[in-house]
Amino acid sequence: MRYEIFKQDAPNQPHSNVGSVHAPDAEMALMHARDVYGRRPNAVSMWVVPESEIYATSHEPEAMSHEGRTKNQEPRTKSQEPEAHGSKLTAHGSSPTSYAVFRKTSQRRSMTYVAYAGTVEANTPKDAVTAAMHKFPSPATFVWWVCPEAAISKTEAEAAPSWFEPAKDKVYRQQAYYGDATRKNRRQRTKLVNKLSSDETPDEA
Amino acid sequence: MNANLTSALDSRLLALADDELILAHRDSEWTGHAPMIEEDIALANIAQDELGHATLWYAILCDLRKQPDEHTDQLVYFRDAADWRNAQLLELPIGDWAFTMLRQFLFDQFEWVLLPALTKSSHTAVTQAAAKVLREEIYHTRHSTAWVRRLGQGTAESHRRMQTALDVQWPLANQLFVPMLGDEALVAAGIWPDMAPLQQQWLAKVGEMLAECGLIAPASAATRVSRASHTEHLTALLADMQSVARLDPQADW
Repeated sequence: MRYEIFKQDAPNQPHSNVGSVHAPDAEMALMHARDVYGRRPNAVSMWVVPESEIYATSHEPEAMSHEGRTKNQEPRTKSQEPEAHGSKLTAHGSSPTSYAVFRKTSQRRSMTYVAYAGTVEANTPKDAVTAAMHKFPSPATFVWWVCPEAAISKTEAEAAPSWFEPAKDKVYRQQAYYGDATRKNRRQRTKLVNKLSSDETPDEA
Repeated sequence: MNANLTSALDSRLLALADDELILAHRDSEWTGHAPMIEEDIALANIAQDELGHATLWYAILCDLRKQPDEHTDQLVYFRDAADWRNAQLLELPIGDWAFTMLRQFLFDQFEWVLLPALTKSSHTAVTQAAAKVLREEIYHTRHSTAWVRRLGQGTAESHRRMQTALDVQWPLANQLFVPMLGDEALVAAGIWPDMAPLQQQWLAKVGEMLAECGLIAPASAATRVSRASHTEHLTALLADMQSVARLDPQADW
């Protein structure tokens, strides 16, 4: 099963989609997310959501093509017709469900992915998108993703020191660590190592 | 520290560093061959972690021997099999995924009982290193536990492979806890914990998991051989691992 991964880089930033992993269940998905997307700093928290639980819509495709975007640069199409998948998306009965809302508000190449906006109450995913448009009118949103809040599995706050902190010490994972192997550059590498380890403050954004 | 204590701590540090290094090397052999790309990355991460842990223990050993850090390279690349002190469990070839995950689990659980005790060591360098390693082991134990549970409780085939791995590894795991010369003095000085009660903790923790998975620990006698004893697999591993360094021992790199 494919899980979408949402990574938070600092406590004051939203969880943003960074890609996906294949995993048999949410616990393994979280571990894979950590290994694949948390190898290099920074991360303070991760969420995983089964792809089948995500309902996605795109808006203003013309505006995007003005920027020279092609279809395949869009986030992958999610369950456009969730009912047809027999997914749990619609199996929450008649009482409103809390949906997590993610959106893409920039067309900048570096911001291809959706970020968490907040939650809405709705009966269906489609209604959740409508509710999200009202609740989060600005800035202009190009892509909406919604999923039942209950479908999100999260890293535990107390696990963070083991889950994410050690990556900060592993300078050998940084490209700059491998400039080359001459003595002169070895000195520069030592400087980099010292710099990286002195930057290591808990509050760094 | 008197000469007896120094020599006893030297032995313990070498054994632990060698355990970590040999396991790191075996884990690294999966790079590019793991069953899925996600696990390929996960195990490469873990291999690097274990290598990092080995480096920490070797560094303390270098200090103890009043040697520069480069002494670690001598130990790793220019030492013959007879002088290694890792447990045989860790030098066995990687086998299948079940074999590798079970070995990782048994060793992670060993560290899980040993490290908290080492964080209370009266030897400050050991205390600090143990705290650092323990932080990463929280993740390691979760990873290997998740795999043992899924393979142990998975299909008939995955369960069979786990049982086969257990039959081989169980008697050897005892070697992780065999006494070493000078242990009593280290325990008395509060430098290293008594391994016997740690083994009981380990047995309880591991036994719980085996029961949950319906895996049967074989009744065959546990290995009592010392850590100086090795299989032919270590010789082959070292021939591979040390080959480049030994091509040109004077190379600057």
